[in-house]
Amino acid sequence: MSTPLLSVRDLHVEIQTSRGLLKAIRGISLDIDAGQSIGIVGESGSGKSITLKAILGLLPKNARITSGEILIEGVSLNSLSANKRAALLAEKIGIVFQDAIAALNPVMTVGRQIAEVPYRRLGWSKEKSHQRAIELMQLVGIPNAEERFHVYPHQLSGGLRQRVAIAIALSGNPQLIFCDEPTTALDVTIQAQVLRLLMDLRQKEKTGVVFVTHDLAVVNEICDEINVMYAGRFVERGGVQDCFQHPVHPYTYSLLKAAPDMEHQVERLFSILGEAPDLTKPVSGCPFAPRCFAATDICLTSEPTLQLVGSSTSACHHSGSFMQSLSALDVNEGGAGR
Amino acid sequence: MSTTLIRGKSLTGRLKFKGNGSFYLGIGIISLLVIIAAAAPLISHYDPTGQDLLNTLVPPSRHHWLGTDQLGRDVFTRIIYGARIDLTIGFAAVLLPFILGTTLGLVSGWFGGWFDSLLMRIVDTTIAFPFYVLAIALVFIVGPGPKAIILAITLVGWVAYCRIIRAAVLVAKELDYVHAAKLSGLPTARILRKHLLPNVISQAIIFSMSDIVLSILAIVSLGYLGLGVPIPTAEWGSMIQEGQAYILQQWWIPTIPGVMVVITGFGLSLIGDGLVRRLNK
Amino acid sequence: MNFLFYAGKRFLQVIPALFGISIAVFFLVHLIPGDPADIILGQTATPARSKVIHHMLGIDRPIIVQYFSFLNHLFHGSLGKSYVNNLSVTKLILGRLSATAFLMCGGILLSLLISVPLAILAASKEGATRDQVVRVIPIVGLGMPQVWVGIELILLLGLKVHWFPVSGFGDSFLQHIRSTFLPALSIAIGLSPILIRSLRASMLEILEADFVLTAKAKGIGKMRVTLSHVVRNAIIASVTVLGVNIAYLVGSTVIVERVFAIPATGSLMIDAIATRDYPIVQGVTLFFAIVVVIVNLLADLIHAALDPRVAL
Repeated sequence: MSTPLLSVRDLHVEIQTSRGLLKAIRGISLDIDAGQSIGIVGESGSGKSITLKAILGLLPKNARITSGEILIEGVSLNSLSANKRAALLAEKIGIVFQDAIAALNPVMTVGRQIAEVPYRRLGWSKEKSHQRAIELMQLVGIPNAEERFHVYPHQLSGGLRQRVAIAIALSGNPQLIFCDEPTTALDVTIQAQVLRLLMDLRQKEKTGVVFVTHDLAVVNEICDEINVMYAGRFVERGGVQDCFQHPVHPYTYSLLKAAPDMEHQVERLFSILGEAPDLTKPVSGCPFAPRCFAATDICLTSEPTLQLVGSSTSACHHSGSFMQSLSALDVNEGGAGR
Repeated sequence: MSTTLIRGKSLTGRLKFKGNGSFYLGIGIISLLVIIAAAAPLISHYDPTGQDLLNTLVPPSRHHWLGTDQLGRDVFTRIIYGARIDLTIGFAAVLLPFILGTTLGLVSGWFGGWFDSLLMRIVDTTIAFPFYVLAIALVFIVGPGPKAIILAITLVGWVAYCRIIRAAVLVAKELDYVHAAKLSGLPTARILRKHLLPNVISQAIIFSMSDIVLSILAIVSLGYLGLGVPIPTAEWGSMIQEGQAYILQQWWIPTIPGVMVVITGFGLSLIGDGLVRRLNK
Repeated sequence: MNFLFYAGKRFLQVIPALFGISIAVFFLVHLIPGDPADIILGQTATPARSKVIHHMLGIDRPIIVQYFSFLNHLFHGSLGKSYVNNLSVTKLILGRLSATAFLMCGGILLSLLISVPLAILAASKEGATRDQVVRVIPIVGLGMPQVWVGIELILLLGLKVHWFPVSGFGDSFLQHIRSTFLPALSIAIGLSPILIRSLRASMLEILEADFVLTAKAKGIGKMRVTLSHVVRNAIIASVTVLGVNIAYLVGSTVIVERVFAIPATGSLMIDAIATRDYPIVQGVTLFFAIVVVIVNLLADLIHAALDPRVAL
């Protein structure tokens, strides 16, 4: 078994807020190999963005990792100095943020921002870096790359800006790209283009993708594996097709029901009542229980852990029998998701 | 097995600096000052302008807690009587700009159009005038004393309130509840008064706290220049000016009035900050 | 090229404001009760003589005509003549210009030197001790009268240790600098609380922006992130903040120069009050207003030069 490119073991992250200490991530483990395409989905507040930032060491000032290990190709980041850590992460992983207008330096030309990694970190000459930036811009589909090099972010449309952000993420030849809701701020057509770009890159350059989003349709298109996050933990993990056709966690099931299925025009919307739990308070029992249609007494007292259920993993006391039967029923009706 | 990636002090408590405590501290300080000022005759039996030329520049003692100045007047008494002048004018001077600026900002932001454009032109012209220059010019016109100060503060001060309220109105008028009020056919004045105003006024109130500080600074500065409240009356600014000559030996005579202003400013700033925090909850 | 066009455009936009100021100043000063003829003639005033003076000064004409005459003189660089000693107001102001310039420039420089590093220090580690300490400064400092600060500086740095002169302007350039240092410092200390508050907020916005995260994720090192990404944005923010507060700074020079007995434009004006010499009051008020407009314009142009988002 080869060493995974990125390995996260039992990560815990806390955030200091005005309401108290928030346990944003309560034990997440993840293994990613080069070339894989992983989705992390959840509601806002589930901790999905924080996960990416925590791994890359980009947590805000009021947040910190309280325990857990992150390994790049088997090397634990704990054992490295801060500079080495930053360098290793930057070498292997690029990140694309949600809102490109905020994620790009407003007073620097896009070309220079894309050329920055080759020029400043890889030590290339200015001309070579400039050339590389143009290549990357062409790779991500920015027309008139040579002219556009000298343009400022605010002069580009949203779609082009996001491509610039992707070019920046690619500029260090990473093996993995983190995407934090990169298409949420874009309209549907541009969204489709950006997704296609990411899929192309995955094929051509063999870059893996970790895609964080609340949009299930996007995950369906672009990811092989999915991790569903709730209240700071993974509650279901598995292959995307499996998960969408046979969800074994009530939360996933509810999400799929709530997401209008474009193709099969599902009429009823199964809306999930209630709100996400307040993670400044200690969690007793399963955090989804108050909103869960399958909850029983045991769900209120004991928090379930991830267990293998068929080909997926799920953290639910009822994953086994009940959910499988439910999924089986739905298959007859036309599927919970697609 | 589990190791901490980032070593650092605990995060708990660090962001709790200036909790509600400081807000109440501010209120306490200002209340204390107001009470002392109001009760001045009860606290000190001296006459703030009463001279005693046999006992000039006496150091602090049991009879004169802060000593006497160059004319034998009791410094402590003059300080607390000075509070009356400075605090009163400071608070009063902000009232008119508040009302005027808020009203104009409300109307301008709501109706827009030529009125708004014209008003913004006037605003641009007004902010070009450095406040002190204008204040001095006004003293020239209407004579020294609180009248000029209040007039100057009003003429220049309304601008800030106008802009703050106008900006808040421009945002608020796009909100749902305002649209609802409009659609329900309520008369405009009523919408402005009952729906818009309560929600935008908080910004103005917060600003008025620092504005009061600024107006007290103005009175003190003009008093220093001899353009404020006429001389025998105890006022912190003129006390600073008169005391300047004695700074080396009797340093407290000009220093303490300034400290009083700092304390007042401190209290008001705490209140202002506290209000910001409360309103952002 | 584009920039020159922009500068020209902004300059044109300023002209209506200048007109507005001239109107405001003119009418403001002409609202004074009292007859200038009385000042000039003093005891020797008689109705006949007053009439002659009125005619000489041109104040027997309708006020609109007086205004246009005033404007006309303005265009020719004349601000009228002092009632007291018949000297050209323009000349008088120019004579004091150097002192005022030292005070203003010194004030701006020291304000920036004090506020910017403190704001950056605080913002770089939000919530840490040094941030808490810096945040206290505006709360305590806002209430510090500049005249009082000036006096304390005189005591501490001028009298107790004789590092700086405590009054006067001096004769040589070096003496000018020494003489205006404490006053400029007083102005700076007075302005800093306001600047620190705004600058710190702007810095925080920049430091917490996503583009700084993007830059950090590039692995180019903290120093490079700061230099290439933070600094320029920070300067732009600083220029904006300073521009907003410039009127206050200009006004402060008037107050502070009295504390240190520096013969600058402010004293000219204050002395003119006692003698009811209103051409001087009018001239100085106009002068200061124009200075504020020009400095604001400069700040605007600097901002436009640095920030590519400004549409040229």
